[in-house]
Amino acid sequence: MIDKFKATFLEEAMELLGQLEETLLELEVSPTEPELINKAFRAMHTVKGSSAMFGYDAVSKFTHEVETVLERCRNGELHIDRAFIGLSLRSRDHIRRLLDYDVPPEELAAAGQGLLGEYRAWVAKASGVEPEAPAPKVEASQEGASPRQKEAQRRENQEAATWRIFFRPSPSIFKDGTKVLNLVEELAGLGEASVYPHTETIPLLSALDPETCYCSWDIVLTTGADENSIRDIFLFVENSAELQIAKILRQADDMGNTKKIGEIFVERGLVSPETIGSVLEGHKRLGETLVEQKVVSTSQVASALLEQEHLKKMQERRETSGNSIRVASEKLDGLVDLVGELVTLQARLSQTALERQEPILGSISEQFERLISQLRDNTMSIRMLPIGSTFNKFRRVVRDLSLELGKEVELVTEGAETELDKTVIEKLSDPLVHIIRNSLDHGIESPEQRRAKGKSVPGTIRLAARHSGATVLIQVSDDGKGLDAEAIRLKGIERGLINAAQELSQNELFQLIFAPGFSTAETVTTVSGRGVGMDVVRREIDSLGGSVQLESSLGKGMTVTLKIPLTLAIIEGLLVKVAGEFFVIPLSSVDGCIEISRTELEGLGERRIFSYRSEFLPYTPLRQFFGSVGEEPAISQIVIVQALESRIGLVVDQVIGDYQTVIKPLGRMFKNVEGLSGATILGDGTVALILDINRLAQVVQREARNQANARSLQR
Amino acid sequence: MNEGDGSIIRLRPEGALCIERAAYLKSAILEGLEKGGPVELDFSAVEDIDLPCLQVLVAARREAMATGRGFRLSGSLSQRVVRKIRASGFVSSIPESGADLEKTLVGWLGEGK
Repeated sequence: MIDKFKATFLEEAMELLGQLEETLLELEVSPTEPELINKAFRAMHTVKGSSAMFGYDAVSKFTHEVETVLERCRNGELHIDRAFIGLSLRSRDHIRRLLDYDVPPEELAAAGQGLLGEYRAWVAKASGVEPEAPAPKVEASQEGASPRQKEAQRRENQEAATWRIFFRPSPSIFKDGTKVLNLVEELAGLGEASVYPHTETIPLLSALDPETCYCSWDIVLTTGADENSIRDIFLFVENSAELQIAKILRQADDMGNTKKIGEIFVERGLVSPETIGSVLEGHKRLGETLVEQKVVSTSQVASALLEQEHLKKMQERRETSGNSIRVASEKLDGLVDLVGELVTLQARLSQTALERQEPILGSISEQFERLISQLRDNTMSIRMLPIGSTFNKFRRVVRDLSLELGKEVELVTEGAETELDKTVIEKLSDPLVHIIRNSLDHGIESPEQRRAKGKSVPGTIRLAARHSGATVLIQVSDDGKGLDAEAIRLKGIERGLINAAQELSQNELFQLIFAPGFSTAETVTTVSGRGVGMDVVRREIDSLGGSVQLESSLGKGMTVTLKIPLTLAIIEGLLVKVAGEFFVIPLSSVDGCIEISRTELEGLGERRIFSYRSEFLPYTPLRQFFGSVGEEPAISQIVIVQALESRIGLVVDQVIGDYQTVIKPLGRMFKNVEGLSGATILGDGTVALILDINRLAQVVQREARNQANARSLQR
Repeated sequence: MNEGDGSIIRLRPEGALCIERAAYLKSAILEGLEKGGPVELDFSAVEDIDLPCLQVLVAARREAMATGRGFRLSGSLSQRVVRKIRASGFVSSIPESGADLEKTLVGWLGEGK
């Protein structure tokens, strides 16, 4: 049981650390924004509290120390600067690592001490005091936050209610030494608060008694705390203040409309329902009329409007966050698997119905098919996540890297709301990091170079995502120096990838940077230039069934476009037969089919080039590719597919038709088989293999190139 | 209406504007206004502020408006001051300077009267 809670804790902690990272990066831009400091503090505080609860003592002790520093920043004693953000980001990473262990190893503990030492040095520098001796050990769960804050934290998880609080300190309250603003602030700290001070009773300065309190407050507070906790705050001023606390029962009507301003006046006891009714008959703005008639003051209207706004905000928040539940992703994967089985079974059913020619069976099968396809679409949509969740990771990469390289780079993101299958998003993360690192290191120039070229000193990397049919396009573009086609060509010749006599289009040259070990960088940095990277990117994107495109203009920048299928679980495919075996070609890459007789095929000879729509394309017979035996049919089909920015033909025995199919991964044993990306089960229970078109195209192009080279050498 | 000689009377209090200093603040501003103002209160050195002095500011503004004189705020605001006046609802957005504060301080523009 405890393990289950622990898993939830870890999941939440990861989420909080994600938030913390995001907040810290925002803070770097606006270091004085109190809301951000608060947010960072809250995240740190929650991690501290819950890690202590689950026995992660190292985490809670470490976060406590960091929290203490953050607290001082929150109080305005210390000013947040870049060094602090850097340190805090590293601390975040440290906490993340600590969470991997129940008892962290020695070196990790030492690293933590190192970070804390850096904090002490920073605090000393920021506050202009000599560094103090290592902070005395304190019990993490006891110190650092006032009991009230802890209470607020605990209650945040409980169901929140909204309270309307009216607080009018007695005029003589200052004389007891009560700090009124602190009370209001503490109250607001219990949850989400909208605070409105009534100042209309403050007189002219000449008539003001500096020791009299003139103000009163309307506070609308949404909190998990109960009425007693709210009253507790005013415990010591009970006799010197008027306090009214009421729970706001209805926050919105069934139609989701927010409360009318008139209702708020009536509930506050300021106006009678009759007056509201008679004013409303006049069809004027209620607030204005009531002020004109001196029924309420403008400040009472302002305060009621603030309440309305507060309720609306809470309503919106509930709508976005309240109606969702957290489900373990394994459960979702299980569901997708089951739906996949159903789809397969359904295919068998419709095939049987077709064979039996039974009308009733046929109609059941059709209805079943409709339901299954709805079920499939629904299940797939559950797995969809906005890609923005990974964008923050890239923000961090850009920040850290640009500091390391001494470059100024701004990351602009677009289309963070674009949805993609969860698994796809996870698998995209590494390739995107590679591409962004590449842009930063090779693309964006140093500030001096940029200045010399008349470019704006800070470089820009744009990360954009958008839907395009059944695929998502993800673009990473930079305004750096772009790709140098000539340099790539020379490097390609040097590496023996191309022949000096070969004439290649710019696009074909760009494709060379995806070759393993290819790099035109003159110097090898820790970041890139070692030639590992782009080939890995291509491999990963291929494994997702996607494609990579490059565009570049020298001196202006380059754009890498990733085209990724929406989901990995189901594809629309073209079912083909080769030597008695079934294969599936992803339909999205199919351009067309032509029939060709055996004699024609033999007539094309060894060059393996055929003409298609007045274009000469290379082709490969799949029979040969897979080493199939048996006699070739008298008439074959060539399926023309689009892959790697070019088209190739695949010769198959027979084209059966389009086929929607659930992708089953091939076992680990087949990981290194070239040209296959997965398998599927057909209606009759036989297995069909799914072709990896990009990989096939690579092989075909490689062969075509080798042949061309061989020919040019013969000449 | 006496505009005085038109030169600005600047007040630049330092440290925390707590209750002990409310009476002094009141008399200093009032004195300035009586001389014909305009009076400018520079926040640059103010580290903290409490309700009594906030009341003085609003009252001073009302006095100045009633008597046709000028009273304004200037200088940058310390984080603690911003936090205090924000948490207690006196401003809805985050002011960075005294001039910002004038735009958003509840009661400043005469609402609620």
